[in-house]
Amino acid sequence: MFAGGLVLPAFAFAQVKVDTNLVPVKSLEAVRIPAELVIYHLPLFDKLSKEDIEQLNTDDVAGLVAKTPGATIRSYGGLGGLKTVSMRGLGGQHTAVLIDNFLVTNAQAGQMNLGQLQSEGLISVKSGVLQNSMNLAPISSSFSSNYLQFRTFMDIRSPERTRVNTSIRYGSFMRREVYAQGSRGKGHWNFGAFGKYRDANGAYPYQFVNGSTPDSGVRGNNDYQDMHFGASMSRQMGHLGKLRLIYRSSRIDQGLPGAVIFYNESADERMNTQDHRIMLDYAKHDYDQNSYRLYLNGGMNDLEYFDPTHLNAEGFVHDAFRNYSITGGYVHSKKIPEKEEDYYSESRLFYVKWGAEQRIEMLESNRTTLGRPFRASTYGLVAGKYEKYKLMVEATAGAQLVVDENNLGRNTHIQFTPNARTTYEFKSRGKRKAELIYKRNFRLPSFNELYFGEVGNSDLQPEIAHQLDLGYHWKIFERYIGWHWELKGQGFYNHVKNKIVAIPTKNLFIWSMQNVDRAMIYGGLVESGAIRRFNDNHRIEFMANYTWQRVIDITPDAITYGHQVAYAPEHTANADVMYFYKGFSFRASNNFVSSRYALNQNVPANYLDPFWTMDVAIGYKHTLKRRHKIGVQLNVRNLTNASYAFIRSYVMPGRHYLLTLNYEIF
Amino acid sequence: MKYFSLIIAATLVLASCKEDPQEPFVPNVQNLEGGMLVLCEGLFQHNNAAINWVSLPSGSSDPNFFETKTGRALGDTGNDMMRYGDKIYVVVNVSSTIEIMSAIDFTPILQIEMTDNGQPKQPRSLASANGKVYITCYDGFVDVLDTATLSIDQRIAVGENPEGLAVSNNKLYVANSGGLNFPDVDSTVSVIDLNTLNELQKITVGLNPGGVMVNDAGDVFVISRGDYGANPSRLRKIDPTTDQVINASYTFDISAMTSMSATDMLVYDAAGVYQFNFQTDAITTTIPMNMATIQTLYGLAYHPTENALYVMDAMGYTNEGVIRKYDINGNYLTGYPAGLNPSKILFFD
Repeated sequence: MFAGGLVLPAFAFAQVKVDTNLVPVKSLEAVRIPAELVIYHLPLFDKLSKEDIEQLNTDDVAGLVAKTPGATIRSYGGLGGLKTVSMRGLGGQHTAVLIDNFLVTNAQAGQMNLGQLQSEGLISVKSGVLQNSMNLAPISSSFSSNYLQFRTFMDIRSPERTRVNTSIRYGSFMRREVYAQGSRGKGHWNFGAFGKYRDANGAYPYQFVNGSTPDSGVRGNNDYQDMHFGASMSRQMGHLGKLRLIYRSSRIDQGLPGAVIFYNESADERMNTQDHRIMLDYAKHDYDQNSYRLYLNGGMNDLEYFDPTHLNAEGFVHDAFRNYSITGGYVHSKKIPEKEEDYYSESRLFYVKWGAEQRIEMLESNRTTLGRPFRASTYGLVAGKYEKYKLMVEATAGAQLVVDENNLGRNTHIQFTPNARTTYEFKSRGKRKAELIYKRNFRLPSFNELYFGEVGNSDLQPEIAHQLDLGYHWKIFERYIGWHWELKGQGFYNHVKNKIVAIPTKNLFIWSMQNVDRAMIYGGLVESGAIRRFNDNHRIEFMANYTWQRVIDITPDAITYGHQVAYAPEHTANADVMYFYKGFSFRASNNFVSSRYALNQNVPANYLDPFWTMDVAIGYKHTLKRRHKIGVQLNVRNLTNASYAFIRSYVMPGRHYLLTLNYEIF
Repeated sequence: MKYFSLIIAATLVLASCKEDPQEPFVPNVQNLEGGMLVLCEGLFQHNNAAINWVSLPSGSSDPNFFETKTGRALGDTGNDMMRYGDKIYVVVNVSSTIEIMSAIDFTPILQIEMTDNGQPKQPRSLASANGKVYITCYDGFVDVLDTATLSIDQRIAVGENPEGLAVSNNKLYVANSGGLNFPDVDSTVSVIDLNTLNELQKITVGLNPGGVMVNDAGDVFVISRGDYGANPSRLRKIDPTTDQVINASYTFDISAMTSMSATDMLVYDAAGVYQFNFQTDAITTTIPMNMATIQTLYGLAYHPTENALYVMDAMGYTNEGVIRKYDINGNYLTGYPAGLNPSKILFFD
């Protein structure tokens, strides 16, 4: 029960600190912290822990992201279905996705398919609007409106022994899966590796209403097979520096079931994707003075699409695409105390950060009309942060020069992304905090939007987003009943112009990308987490969030002016309850998405029903001997067998099961 | 300050309460009289093709008339609708079905699944003659539906991705669009002998042929839609006796046509609606309607009894459509709400 590593987080953003208001200590070694004051972390959806991730046991990271406040997942199916995320009403292209502090991108689609990112091996998921301005994240990640940050076991240092975590899974729809990860520290070195194989026939039954007639079916051509592999090694360089090398790859072969079309169940299209990424960085964290990071990130992504029964002259369609990307950058942050004693008191501090990044992206394809798109992006960024007592002010100025080139010509864009944040802490430090954020961001048109056949429009301009967020954060501890409770509230306002949308231009069958729409987004979210520890082996946790958002089309003269934009729910909510007793664990996880419209026009014909789903997880872990643990977990998804769809005509699976057996050497 | 967060949450919940859109009043229609059926294509993969019933002149409508009568949805992408005898035939392209309904009271008679070895044929357009209904299918065939047995008798191979078709001189003229090979589209019309049901020849008419229409004299008119770029959409005429293109270079650009009378038809595009005279073989009149009030001219129907024009406005293709009624002098008379992408109208006096 001694302090050890179990210390109080002074504030939700901090990882490990001691709240000196609750525990008057001079040094950690000298104090015994009462059991009721000891917590591991406060459960919140915007920073899912390893335990949350293991319990949720989702098919991919999209299932985790769906829990984060302000997130709306657009899922086109279960396992293997395309899944993108809209954060606070902004399109998926506005969200930066980071894995182990490296940005993963896809210039062809402009956004990541979250359905292709595995959830195994993750130790945390964080989301938000603005990262800590002084961190050493890739420079370009500061240019997005929102971020999703996934951290894996390969990003943490292992002790001087071998750690192994293996699991096998069996589930509905003939799902089989084996996963193994291992890590080991040795001297200055640290090694990690993982591998995964999974397949399923994906033939899930579903229900839907055809007119006023209930109907049902079984998803066809939904087979799925994926393999993931990764390895990492890192070396501690001196006291503060670290060199990392990470390789990740995936290979996915899947049938594409397409939309559920009334009276027509045929589906035979296939897709095959391969992804290889190699990441290298050197970072030095000198918390007293200078921190810097040099990073290099290269990726190659292959996508093959095959339609064997297309009604064209050849009788089939076979499209192949290969994306290349290489990114290199440098980021440096420096702490400048006003006085010598401020080094450690952190009462008056000034930080500066600067950095630059260069990214090259290229697309090759067997579609001759696509050309050979090439994009060179140069980023530059300077930031400053000032902290004095309870006030924090930070500002960032970024600029991006983009050169797009193809056989159609060359386009050059220069965009500036200023953003600023100020926070003020009320009363004592770490209790209540108000926050105000302004950002101006943009997202570039993807290669598909620029050049894909008749749809592409090489004259597209970047989509601009202005963001204003006002947040309030409250954390309390009820000493007498032993509950720790945290509450966050945030209001947000976004304005999007030059919105890139596909509209029919020449006729109904020839659509084209255009910068035509404007959107105004405003809303608010509240998030809360609570934990009650009865003793070391017995606790209950609760976490919930609710987002209300109006995503309104304000395109001048549009028929849909003032209407809620397609697929933007006005209300989303999550509520999870977790119970732990010794090795047993239980979790009931709820997700609610309100009604939406399949098109921008808010009329009954476009109306999509709201849905609520509940997943349940029951698990048991048993320690066999020192450092050996065995576990079993049953996940029941969509417990109530609800019939629902995120996207019209893409019906999601009914109730289904996943059994996980786990063996861990830790 | 203590309750600040709770107040914010409560305010958000209260402010977010909003009523869902209300369903409009739906008339109870027993027989197809004094109104019009409007086929609305819907959007690909939305399963929202619909048939509206609009009572004239009251304007009351049932936007889901097919659903009201059948209890189920029409399907995905309704492309054509035709009355022949005492039945109405509806083509649903992506669902790959033919719906057959009573032309008296719209009672459902039969749904035909248009598949070939499990693959959808993707039916597209309809024509009729001699007790048969001919259906172009995007897989390169014309299916022959016997209206007595309501079964597909035969498949006739034609060109790629056939679209419009019409009967003249006991021959079937089928536009081979090759649209799925865009930009390498087809440019021919298949001529089929209705006695043998064999293709006689292919006539080259111009890029991307789509609509086909026959006048009372038997002349065959074809729209070759070009490449939506440098090659504009043009009207062609075929002599049904010689099967030769006899006017391949009308000087005006049009994208569609519809029948009007024994002497005239209406041709149109986004710029205007014109009266084309068969005798003079030329546009004789420009209907002086205000085209600026029409957002997306997607179809046009002529009501002979009312001597009125019904413009199907798709309103940008992703919004509910509007049927705009004009007199023959182009004066706007009234408008009727329609579903998504209205494309065909059948009138019932």
